[in-house]
Amino acid sequence: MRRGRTALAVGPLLFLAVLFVWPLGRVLALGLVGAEGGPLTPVAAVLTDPALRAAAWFTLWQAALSTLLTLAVGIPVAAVLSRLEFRGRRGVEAAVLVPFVLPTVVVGAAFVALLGALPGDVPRRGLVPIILAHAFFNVSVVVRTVGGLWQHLDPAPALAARGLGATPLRAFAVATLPRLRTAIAAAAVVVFLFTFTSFGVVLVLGGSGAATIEVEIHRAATRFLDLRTAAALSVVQLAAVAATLAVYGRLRRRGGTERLRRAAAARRPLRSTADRAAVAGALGLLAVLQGAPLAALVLRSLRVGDGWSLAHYRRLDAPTREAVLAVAPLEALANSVAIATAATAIALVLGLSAAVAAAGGARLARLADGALMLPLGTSAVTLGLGLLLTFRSGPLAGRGSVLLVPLAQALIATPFVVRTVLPVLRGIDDRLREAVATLGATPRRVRREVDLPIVSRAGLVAAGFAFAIAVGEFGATVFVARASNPTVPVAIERALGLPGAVNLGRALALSVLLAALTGLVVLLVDRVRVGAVGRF
Amino acid sequence: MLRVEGLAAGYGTGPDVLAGVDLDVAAGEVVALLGPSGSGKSTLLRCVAGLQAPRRGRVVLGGADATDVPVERRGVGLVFQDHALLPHRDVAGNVGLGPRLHGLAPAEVAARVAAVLADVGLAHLADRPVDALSGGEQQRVALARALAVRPRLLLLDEPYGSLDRPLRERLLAELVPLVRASGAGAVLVTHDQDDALAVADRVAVLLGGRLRQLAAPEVCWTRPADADVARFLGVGALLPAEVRAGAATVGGDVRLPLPAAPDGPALVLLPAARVRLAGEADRAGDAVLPAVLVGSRFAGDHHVLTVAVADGVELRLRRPRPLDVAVGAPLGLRIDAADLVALPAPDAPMEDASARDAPAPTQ
Repeated sequence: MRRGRTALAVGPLLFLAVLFVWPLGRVLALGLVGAEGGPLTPVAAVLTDPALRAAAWFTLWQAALSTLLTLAVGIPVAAVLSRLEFRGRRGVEAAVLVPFVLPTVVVGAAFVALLGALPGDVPRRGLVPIILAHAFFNVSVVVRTVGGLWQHLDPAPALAARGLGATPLRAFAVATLPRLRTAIAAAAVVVFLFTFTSFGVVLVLGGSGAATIEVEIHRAATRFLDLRTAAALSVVQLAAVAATLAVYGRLRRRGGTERLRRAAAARRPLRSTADRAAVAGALGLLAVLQGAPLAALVLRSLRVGDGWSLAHYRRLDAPTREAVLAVAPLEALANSVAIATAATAIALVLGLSAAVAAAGGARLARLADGALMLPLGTSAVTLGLGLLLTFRSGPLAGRGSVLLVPLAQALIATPFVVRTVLPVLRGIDDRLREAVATLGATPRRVRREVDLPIVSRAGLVAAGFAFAIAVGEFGATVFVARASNPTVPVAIERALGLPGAVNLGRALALSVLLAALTGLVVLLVDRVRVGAVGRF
Repeated sequence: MLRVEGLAAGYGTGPDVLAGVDLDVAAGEVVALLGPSGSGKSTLLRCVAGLQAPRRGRVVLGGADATDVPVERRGVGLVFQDHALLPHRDVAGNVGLGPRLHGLAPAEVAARVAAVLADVGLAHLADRPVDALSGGEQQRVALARALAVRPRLLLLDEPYGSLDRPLRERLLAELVPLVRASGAGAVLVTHDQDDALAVADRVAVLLGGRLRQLAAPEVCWTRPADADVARFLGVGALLPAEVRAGAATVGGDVRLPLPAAPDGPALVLLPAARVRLAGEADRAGDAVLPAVLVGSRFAGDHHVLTVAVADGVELRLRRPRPLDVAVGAPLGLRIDAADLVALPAPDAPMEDASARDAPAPTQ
């Protein structure tokens, strides 16, 4: 039986070898080995190019600023959500999760809608919109990671400090903050990683001056058809990501000795004006940062000329006259749903196999578990570039790229499936199986009565999450999707790049539909409440 | 109903956690398997249930050798401390699982579930999700689930260990009639003497992987099999003695009559429950020992008197009210000579001490 379990690791490993290791190898080979000048010349060329150096520099500090802003908003929100009990708290918790799974281009479109509607001389493209959009996304990472620990922390030490005469702020500083430090640092590293490798948001909101490494990779590969430079940029990117992940690994090994409480025990009802002000402040922050862009997106998608109408939505089933999209936007939506469904199915099969194999504990199986996390640490654009390099010819080229898009999306969604299912599978108490066995269940029947129902709930959550990721995937898809069958995120990005109110309206209407679809899926899945989606 | 013969078991390549245990349980009988953490109690239970294969020895269930019978065909009911209820099934779903696995028709399953739930007093909770129940209710469901398959043998692994004392006593009191009515034998694993005393027809004392005594509670507490059992149960003072011609000399000059004991070094047990203070119903022929009151403490519904006997060995006595003498005052202790127990003096001190500290994978 154990051998059977280990065999389940073979599929995921093969998939990974063909769609990740091989393409990444092509990128590394092209980026590290120069055609004429010898090894490392492409990287050296990239690092000495002033424009590309500027992009690398911009990537670094926009990520740093984004991380700071995200922490500044996320920590107070986490404090309120994990220490205070108020009506609607669970709803707010669920709502905070939604932005994290919204497609990047939708968030870009939302900020285009918001900043375009603001009067006066606000920056509509460039650094500030990018940082705001990054914070919009990643506040949920901080809330889930820091709040996830915080709500289980024993409040007694902080209360003891108060008893000794400390002010609330000082009690927090001496008794609570030190215990949260590791979680905050881990959240910061994850946010830094996400914003460092951010692509869709920067592409939409960056404008002419603000380009990150990701955008430069895309530009080099698709506009200048300079795959060597694109590959060299990917190598630089990978090195930076690897360094960040090393820091993250160290942080994760620390900590974890904290004595934890049941969440309910640590929360208290609102008692004072200060409590109510804290809740109002946190909700206000979320309303401005996350509510306003989404509201602007919806409202402006309904704005036609000086009035309100559904004209932008009605126009979605008409083919566009421009050469940018070969199909009607609604067709792109059907296309997207079909591709994402296929990607979800692939990711589920691979992720469940890998999780079941890894829970068995054999070495090969643990390898599969670890290896499946690698695409998570590799930027989507690098993955897309690798797929483009590898499958320009062969069965997955040309018409075959219909298969390549769901495979690329599955590559990105599978780690999330494993991360959702594996802890649940590992968490099943052996005594549950033993108790059922004594009742008369054969080992096969034990799996049907115990493992299957528990894992299928987790699988449902994983499927929803995988679908949301796949349907909104942009960075890798944009490299492999053909103009004849674009996905919605690709269509939105193209439309946002075109002048005119009609194109903007069309982009916004499509964004609203896509946001509604992903948001709905995630909220439904959150109701199943298995583990915590989006916690790292 | 159950007979265990020479059972030895261990984990991986480690030493034997159980070293040759013999045990028997009759139908309708409750045997408490009592021992400290790491003594091998749970390992014994797992071997009997079929969750673990013994290294040596046999498990005989209902007269047939069951050593190689897989767990699902042994017909034993198992109740864990942490309930181990299926979270995705309601109360009736959990209780009905066993009958369904045994191929009963839906109507029979429903009737069985209703009957068993009524027995444990939970008929009104049949359609509740199990995580909506209190700890005590969950444990009742776990018991009902085990009883629903009409097991030949009920195995209870510290079933009420996580519950508070009053609730635990109530559940234990309910348990005994249920076992009697089911006609199954029951083994209750516990490290708590009060639990064992509350339910057991016989107590099996397991120390360091060996069964040291299997007897009625009165026997274990007044005539422990050896010094380790006496110490573990805390039944009284153990006085080092030298036996000559039917009399033991303790503390240099006190002589206690022990007609049946062989000559040589021995330990004399003074069972605390049988020790009287001079003036408390003195009888002719009592053995008499001098002692000193070294402490007196109020303990709720009684007082605990600590007295030092020979060689500084202390003995704790429960009395309804404190003595009207000061700490340090001399006392006379009296005991019926027939209640004195001579135990062999261990040549190696505390033979089981190392085994007791050995790590045990399950507890």
